[in-house]
Amino acid sequence: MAQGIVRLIKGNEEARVISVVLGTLILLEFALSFSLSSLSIDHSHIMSMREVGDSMRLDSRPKILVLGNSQARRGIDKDILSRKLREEFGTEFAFYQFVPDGGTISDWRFGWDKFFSDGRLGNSSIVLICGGSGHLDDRAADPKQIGSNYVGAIDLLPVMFEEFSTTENRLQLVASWASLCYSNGFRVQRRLRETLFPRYRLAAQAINEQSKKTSRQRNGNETKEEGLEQLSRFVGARTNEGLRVVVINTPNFLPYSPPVDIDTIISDAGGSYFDFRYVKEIDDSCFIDPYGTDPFHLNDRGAAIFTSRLAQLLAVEQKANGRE
Amino acid sequence: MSFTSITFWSFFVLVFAIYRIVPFRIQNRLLLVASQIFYGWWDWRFLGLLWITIISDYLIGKALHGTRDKIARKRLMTLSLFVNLGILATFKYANFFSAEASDLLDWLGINHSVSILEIVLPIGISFYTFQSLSYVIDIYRKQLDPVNDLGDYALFVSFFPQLVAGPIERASRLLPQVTRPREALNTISFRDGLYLVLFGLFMKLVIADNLATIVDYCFSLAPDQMGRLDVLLGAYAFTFQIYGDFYGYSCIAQGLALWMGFKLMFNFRTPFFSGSVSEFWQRWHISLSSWLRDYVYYSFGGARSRWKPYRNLLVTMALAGLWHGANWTFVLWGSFFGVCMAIERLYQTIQGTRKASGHLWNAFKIFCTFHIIVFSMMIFRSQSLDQLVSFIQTLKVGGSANQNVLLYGSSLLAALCVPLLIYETWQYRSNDPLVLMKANWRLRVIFLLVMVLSLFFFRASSTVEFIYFQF
Repeated sequence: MAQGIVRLIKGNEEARVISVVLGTLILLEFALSFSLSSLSIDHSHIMSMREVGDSMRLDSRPKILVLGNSQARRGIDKDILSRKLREEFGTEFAFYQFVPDGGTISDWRFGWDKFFSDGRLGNSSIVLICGGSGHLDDRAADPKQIGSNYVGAIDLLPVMFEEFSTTENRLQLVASWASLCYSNGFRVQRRLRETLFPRYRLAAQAINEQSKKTSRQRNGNETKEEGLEQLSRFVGARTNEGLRVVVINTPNFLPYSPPVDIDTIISDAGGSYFDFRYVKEIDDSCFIDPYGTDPFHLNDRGAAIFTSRLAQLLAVEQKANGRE
Repeated sequence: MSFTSITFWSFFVLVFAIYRIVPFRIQNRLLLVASQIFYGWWDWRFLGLLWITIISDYLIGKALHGTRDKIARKRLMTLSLFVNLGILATFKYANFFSAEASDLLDWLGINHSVSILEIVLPIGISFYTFQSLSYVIDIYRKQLDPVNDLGDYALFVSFFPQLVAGPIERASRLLPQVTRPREALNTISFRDGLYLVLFGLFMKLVIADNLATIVDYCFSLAPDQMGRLDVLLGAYAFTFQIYGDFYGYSCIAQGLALWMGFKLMFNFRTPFFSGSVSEFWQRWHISLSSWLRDYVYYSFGGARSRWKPYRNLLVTMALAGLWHGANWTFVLWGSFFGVCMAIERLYQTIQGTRKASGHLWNAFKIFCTFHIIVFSMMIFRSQSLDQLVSFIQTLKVGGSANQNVLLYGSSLLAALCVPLLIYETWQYRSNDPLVLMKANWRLRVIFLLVMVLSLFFFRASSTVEFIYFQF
């Protein structure tokens, strides 16, 4: 058969063209499977979570697990938080983060089931859910993200039908599970755009802002319509497992406006909600990085202020809940 | 079900797999069922309208063929026009005309009870209506015999690759391909089909959708925020966006049809290399422009007389504009082309046989025509006449709203369009849209890889619906 294929490729120019193109795609698929973790910090972060989850089980210290996104990754200074909590409680906290880029409630939900379930955290732990613009609300799960990062062959079918309601999304989930080129094209693309077009990030942000403004003008309202059902269910499930859950609305370049009754929703589910959007000391200067290329995440000074305030709050919170 | 969705491709693979193994008559029935599923996927209720068009034109076609009585034939033709244009007028233009009537009465200070209708526009209605109408007109003109099988006629009108955005095929060209057994898939048709599909997807997902973000940004700025450079960037980007969007759709339709043994017409032939507006319309949306030429322009008398051709050009092009949508900007867009073509005709008449030539002169003509097209696209993209006026006023003012977007947008535009134009120069010089298929296999591999890799790694993050679906 192999000889037959070789003969066909040699003898037929069209077969040669198709086989070279297909061969390149297959090679690329392999190359991506080996190099994706080094190409994308985010991918390697998600993939490392299995080990992190396993090591949590062996760690007897009280733990803090941050579920967030890049805003939490840049905005929480691990050293400051550990030091402040040690000063406050006289005990060492183990600090873990699950902060995929653009992480949403779906990422945290699927990530939890895959990496942190089965009592890995222990009772003394706090789960900090940090979100910004559009990360806390009931946004539909992204089939590419879920298919690429969290779903295996066995749970593919149940997830396909339980999580997604449209044929297109279900098929995207399968395609993302099957092909790294398909599901991770956007990671390569972002790198490519940032390299080719130096102003890409800043331009993309301006375009996004303008598009939000236009859609607000068109729809005629400024309040968010999305609910917090997924978040409240997630918080409820974690509190039932004996974990303390704190939901934080992080300081943000574009502050996220949650539903007005978010604190009631979260407290009904057993968690606490804290709004850090308008912390006095965090002004525009806290969003300017030394290279002037990233105005969307807190810089070191901003992170230090935010983390100190967060540590203060956690201390008060822990004491109020009798966990000194 | 859009050509850019995985749902469509799964659907197509399934249909194609069955199509390949069943005999010819079953193939036609399969394609008919598949076409109904494809169209009903958007909204099954629109299938009713599609079938009103199909059944009425099928019966009228039969009746026209069966009578020699001139008056009866005229009545039948009028009936077909009434049904087809009536459906089009109701579903496409009723909202517009009721709103305009209401505004006019308000302006005149007359109390009225004209309510503004909210009718949903069925997708692709203008395309299939014109395709079906051409069948009846051709029979009326005795240029075509009617088809005997309703199923075959239904497939001609609703053949899914070209149902919702063309090309608007003529019965004389497509019907024989429906009624007679088609050539089986061979290496050449597979190769050409694959190229057309990939190139179409590339044009849509990489070129059009990437530029769509820039266009939407530029044209959504408030007049006081907008600068001249924003308007210019928006206009150039939109010219390539709509080209990529529509040409992309046409290529995919052609490629899919080719795999199933159908040969659809080329709807575009390097339009930005036109040396005049008239030539542009022979290269842009060819299926519509030739339809309008054959059924509207010639019906008015065409170019037979001294002054009537000018009127005919203006009317035909204004109708071409109105075909695109119920908005004064579209009428203005069409009329603008009508005026340009009338001026060109007048110039040619005055000039007589004396014609300037040479590469430099040709390049100059192409340059000027391209910029007329870019300006016309600004009219096309404007949502209202007021917005158009504000764009034109802004052109006098300097500056830009955001330097980052301007730099990114213009470099993206250049990165996408300069290679495209270089490739099209090759097509233009060889006068062959499939020139790549005749090139060395290594070059073909490079082109196909560039397209495939761009589809994976340089497609826009969000897919935009095909622009011509709304027409």
